[in-house]
Amino acid sequence: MVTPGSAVTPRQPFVFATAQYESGDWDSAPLVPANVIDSIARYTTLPVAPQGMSVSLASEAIFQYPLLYLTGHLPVRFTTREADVLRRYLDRGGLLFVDDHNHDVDGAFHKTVREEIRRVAGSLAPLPNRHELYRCFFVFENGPPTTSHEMNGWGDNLVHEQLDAVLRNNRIAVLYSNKDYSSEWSFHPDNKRFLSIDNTKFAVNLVVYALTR
Amino acid sequence: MNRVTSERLLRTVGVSALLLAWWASYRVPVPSISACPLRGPALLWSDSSARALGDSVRTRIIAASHQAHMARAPDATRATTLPLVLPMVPAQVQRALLGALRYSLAPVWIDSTRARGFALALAPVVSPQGGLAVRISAGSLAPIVITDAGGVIDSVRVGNAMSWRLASATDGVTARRGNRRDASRAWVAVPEAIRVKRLYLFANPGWEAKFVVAALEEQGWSVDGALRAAPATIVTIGAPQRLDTARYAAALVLDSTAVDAGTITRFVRQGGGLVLAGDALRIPSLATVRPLRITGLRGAVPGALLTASPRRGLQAWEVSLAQPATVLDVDSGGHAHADPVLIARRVGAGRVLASVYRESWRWRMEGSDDGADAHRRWWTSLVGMVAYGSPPIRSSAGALLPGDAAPYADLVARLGAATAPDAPPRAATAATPPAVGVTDWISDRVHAWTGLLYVMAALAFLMEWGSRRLRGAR
Amino acid sequence: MSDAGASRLFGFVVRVKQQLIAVLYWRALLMSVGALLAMMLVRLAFHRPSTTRTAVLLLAVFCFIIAAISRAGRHARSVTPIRSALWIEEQEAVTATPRHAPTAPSFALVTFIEEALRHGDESSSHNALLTARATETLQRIDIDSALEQVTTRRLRGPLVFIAGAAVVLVVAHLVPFAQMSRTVASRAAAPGDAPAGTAIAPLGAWRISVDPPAYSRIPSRSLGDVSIVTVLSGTVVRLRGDGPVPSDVELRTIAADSAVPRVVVAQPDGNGWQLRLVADERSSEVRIARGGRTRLLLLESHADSLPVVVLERPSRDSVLRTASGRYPLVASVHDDLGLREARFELIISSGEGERFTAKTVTVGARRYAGTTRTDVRATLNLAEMQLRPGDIVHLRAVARDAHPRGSRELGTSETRTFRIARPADYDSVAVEPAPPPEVDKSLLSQRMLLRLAEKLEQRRSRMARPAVLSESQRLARDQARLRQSVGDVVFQRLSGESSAEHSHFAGDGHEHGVALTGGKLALSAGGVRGMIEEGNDSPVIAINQPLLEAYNAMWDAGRELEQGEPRAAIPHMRLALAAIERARAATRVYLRGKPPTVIVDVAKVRMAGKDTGQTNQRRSREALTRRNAERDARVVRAAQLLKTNVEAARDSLALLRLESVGDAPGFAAALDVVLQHLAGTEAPSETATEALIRARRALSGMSRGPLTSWSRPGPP
Repeated sequence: MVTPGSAVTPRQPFVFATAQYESGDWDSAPLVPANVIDSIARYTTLPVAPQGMSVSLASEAIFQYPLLYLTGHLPVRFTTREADVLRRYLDRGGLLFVDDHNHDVDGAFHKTVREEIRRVAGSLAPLPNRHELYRCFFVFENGPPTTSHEMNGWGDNLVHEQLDAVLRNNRIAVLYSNKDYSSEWSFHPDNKRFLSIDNTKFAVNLVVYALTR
Repeated sequence: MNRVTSERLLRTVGVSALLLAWWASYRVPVPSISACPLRGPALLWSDSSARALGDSVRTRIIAASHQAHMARAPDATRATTLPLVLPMVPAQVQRALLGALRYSLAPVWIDSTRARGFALALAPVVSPQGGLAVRISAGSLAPIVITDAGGVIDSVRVGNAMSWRLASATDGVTARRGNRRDASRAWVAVPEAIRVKRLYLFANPGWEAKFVVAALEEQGWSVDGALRAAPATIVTIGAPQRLDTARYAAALVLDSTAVDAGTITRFVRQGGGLVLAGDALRIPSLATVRPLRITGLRGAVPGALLTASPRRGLQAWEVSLAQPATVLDVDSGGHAHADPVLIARRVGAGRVLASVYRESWRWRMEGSDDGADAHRRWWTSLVGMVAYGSPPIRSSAGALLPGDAAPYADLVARLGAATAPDAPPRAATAATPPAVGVTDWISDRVHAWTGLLYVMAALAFLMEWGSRRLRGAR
Repeated sequence: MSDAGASRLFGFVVRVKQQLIAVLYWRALLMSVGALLAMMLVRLAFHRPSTTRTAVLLLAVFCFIIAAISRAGRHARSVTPIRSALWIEEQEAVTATPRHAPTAPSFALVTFIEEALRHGDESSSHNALLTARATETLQRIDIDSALEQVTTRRLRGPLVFIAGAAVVLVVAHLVPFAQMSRTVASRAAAPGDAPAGTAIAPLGAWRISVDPPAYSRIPSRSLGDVSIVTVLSGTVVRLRGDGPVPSDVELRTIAADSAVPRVVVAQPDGNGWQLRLVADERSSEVRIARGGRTRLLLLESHADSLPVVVLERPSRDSVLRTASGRYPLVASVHDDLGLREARFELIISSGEGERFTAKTVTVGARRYAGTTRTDVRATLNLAEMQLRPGDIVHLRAVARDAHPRGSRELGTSETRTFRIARPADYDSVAVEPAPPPEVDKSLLSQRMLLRLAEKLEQRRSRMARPAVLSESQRLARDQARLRQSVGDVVFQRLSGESSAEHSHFAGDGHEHGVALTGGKLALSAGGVRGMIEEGNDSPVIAINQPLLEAYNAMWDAGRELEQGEPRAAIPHMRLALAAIERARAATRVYLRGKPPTVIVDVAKVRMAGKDTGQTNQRRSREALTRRNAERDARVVRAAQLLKTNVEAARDSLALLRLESVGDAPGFAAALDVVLQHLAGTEAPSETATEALIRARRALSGMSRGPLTSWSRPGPP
């Protein structure tokens, strides 16, 4: 029991959640959550929890986090339980952001996770670069920002022009990136001060999109 | 049987048919008042007898009326009464007939209908999905059957009054009160659907705003609003304009965002709806229109989102009512007392509704598989409870038979109040056997089958003539 | 001429007269029969004539029969012997043979009959010459032929009409007329159809043959004249009918968003027509129109389901110290129609940091020829795979059914992973503690200790107290060692430290997820990286809670054993064993390395960014399609149609059922019951009316509530 006006009932902050799955290395980019949280605080007034959460895909606890980040290098095979929970998560309005940390030609993560997404949510299709995701906070005229890994020719030696997505009722349910934002954003947020251009601004668009669409 | 006998028989049949038709036709213009059962005990006007007797009863009533009219001129003090026992409210046409008698007779009726106060109302639900709100006043505990052109919609014992919400109905809704034999019926045409206006949202960006707008848009509502993500960055929903009843049906305030209380209050006073939910109940500037005061916070019951009472799985404010206020829903689970969860009041021409639940989005995301749909229906229902809706165009079909919505009231309006209300119908039946004679029955049948009678006569004569001519006789 | 001759002559004329009268009555009779048949033809032309119309027709026929018989009677009365004789003499000119040249009538026979009638004596001759001349006249005439001619002439017309009408009626009944009329009734004429009375015959009955795809091994079948066909996708459905080729055939796929109908062309086939349709994965409706009548055929498609694969061995993930050993692989595979291939698929990924490689290996591939259920077995020889420490093997079983499409999806099992441990793993917090070996070892030890304690308890009455105490304390020391190893597992998992219990205690200033109080362990609220707040389904708690219970029960058991009370220790030891078994059941859950924790100082960085976002417009969501009101109106129309045209109502309801089976399964199930009743098949206990009411309720989302003073419907 609380009295009105007390500080016990603050507005619930946004919590950045990372999906933890059984196969593969779900925790391959441990600094990404902190970096995304830092960017949200840096550019918006959205209340945000200072620390991210890891939540098992097999647990219905993921329903508490309508935006979920999933990454890894290794092959991804969802268990039956994981696939079932994820399917329900997307049906209810959750948004899953999948980033290929491997960014290799026909890499194991890329191949297997796309297969798993197709099994759970339907086929991925290229997301037009004029999509509102690229305009919902910062404006990215040319679609998704490129990463230094792409520019350096790492992995598949390609600059991916578009992200892929599964749409439900004109909104993104699953966003899939080959661009390796997991490597790009995996640094301590304190080091942002050394960057001339903040390369994590796209994460703000992603969060604002998830919170408003 | 030889040929000549057959011919005689045919002749007899033909002549008999003609005689019967002649007799029946003679009975209409020259009613035998002395034999009229109306002079005797009261007429039991059951639905079945009214239908079976049909012309005969009507003929006799008209004859009695005529007689009374003729008698009135020489002796105006003499009043002819028409005693009736009504175990059910007669149909529209019969009510009209009885009502017409007031100009020549003094209909005296004994009320065995038990349908006092029986009435039916049908109103469109204020929602883009359409739908109908059916309200029935049954008068007293009785089985009520609701039907439309497609058949039975529902049947239930109704105590005093009850309401239904239907997605649609075809060719009007009929409510039948009582058993099938002596049922009173009320009927109302389906009204035109309401054209709903837009909604205005006041909220901060977050899961609650996102999922409430999603729920309303998925149900067909158009929502306008502005979510401020940064001091200079606003995510615009729809095309927000000045809040007034010309454009908006209702405003929603979802959290403790900064609002222009003056604009909102003026909007409500002009007839708009206002839904206050969650932390919006704590906005001090809206205290004048709020139907409650917060006394505390009730925690969510863990796991309850997956049960049959999912709303208990949400955090909720504990409140005390401010006058005037109407409690529309309570949560009585797990408490000694029922906690109000939906409280409404009228402010000026508008309505204000307060929902005590916080973070309703968890119902959609963390509830059962039906949670998303239940969450949508919940929010569209909240808005429907207060939204401003233009009155629908009146259905011409409904205007033709206005008395059918409240048949008992119509009966009283036509005949006057009953002389002996609430008389037991069975006793009346026992005391007054149906005044139906064999001759009446035959007369009615003859009237019903006049054509057949003439065909029978013509055939009989034709066969008789043919037979006669075939054997050479003239 | 004798009197006998005169009498014979007179008798002959009377017989002719009778025959002529008989012809008149036969003609009247045949015309009556003809009138009856004409009435039946008229009934055939009107479909289902009303009772009134039938009564009028019957009356008309009756009048006609009376008139015909009356006319025949009047004519018969005019046929006297004199007229008969005159008719006979007239035949002399008509039937003259070459032998007897035609001459003018002599009227001898007429005169003879007149004379005979005048004298009232037909048996005697009054004028021999007259009799002779009359006899001579008769001999010149072929009276039989003349009678035959008149009979033919008078009866031919009615007979021809009767025969024609009978043929039409028989033909109409030989063609399955009942079906045709039912078919005709089943669809009202579509707008724009040719008007009734067109020269093209209305569409009649059809025959359906169903050829499932060859790979399914389902035999072909013929179905006759049906309106709903349930088929496997890929099935070829052939319709054959009689008469001209239907000009108007439309096929529409029944989907959530109704597609535009596609025109299909029917082909001529002998004396009739043929239509070939291939069922795809979605149901479809076909409307076929001819001669102003449209019929509906519903193709209810079922997709071939993917094979169901269950990986039975290995039953859990493993971390292996060395890449050696042979592991049996077993998977059970099942398919509804037949399997083509099954195998184990391994993805071996190597590398670390940012460099990973992966290769796919197939093991135990087998081909099948339509088997529906089988087990796939193989052996995984890790040594052959040249795995290095840190490599991970993802193993799953996959199966392909006999469906011929190249892009056909595979049926897959759950995936198991084998990880080859790196030597450094055991020094690192990033170790994935492999619970199975540890817990299994603990399990065996605890069971052994329990058994020893039980034996000691049995022998205790026969032993001296010091001996019991000594043996019991030895068990207590073993129990303490075991407890310590379980404690290590718990500590290692929760805090990432491979510490022993003795170095930690509650309030020691550093967080390790568990607190040691009074010798027992308890999960501390601030530990395990917030996992405890996630609820009871947290994997960390799911695996550790039983181990904690085991630890604490072992502590109690050790204390009792220390005091020489094996009897009191046994219940605690049993509790510990049960808890270890529970922990073993949760072996799939294991922790990976603990990532570095970074906590952002939100207040410090709030709005510190140099860039600002731009105001933008959010795109509205589209309203979810609701067809309930429209479907309700269609159900009502079908219910009303049930009274007059059951077949049409059934078609409407069947189409509605197929359209709604995807998004309103409750409604579709209720309609199915109604359709079963209408088809007369074995129906459930629910009546058609009840099912119809249930169907409408499923649509309407009807809710009841009390009537409150608030003049709007309450919450749902």
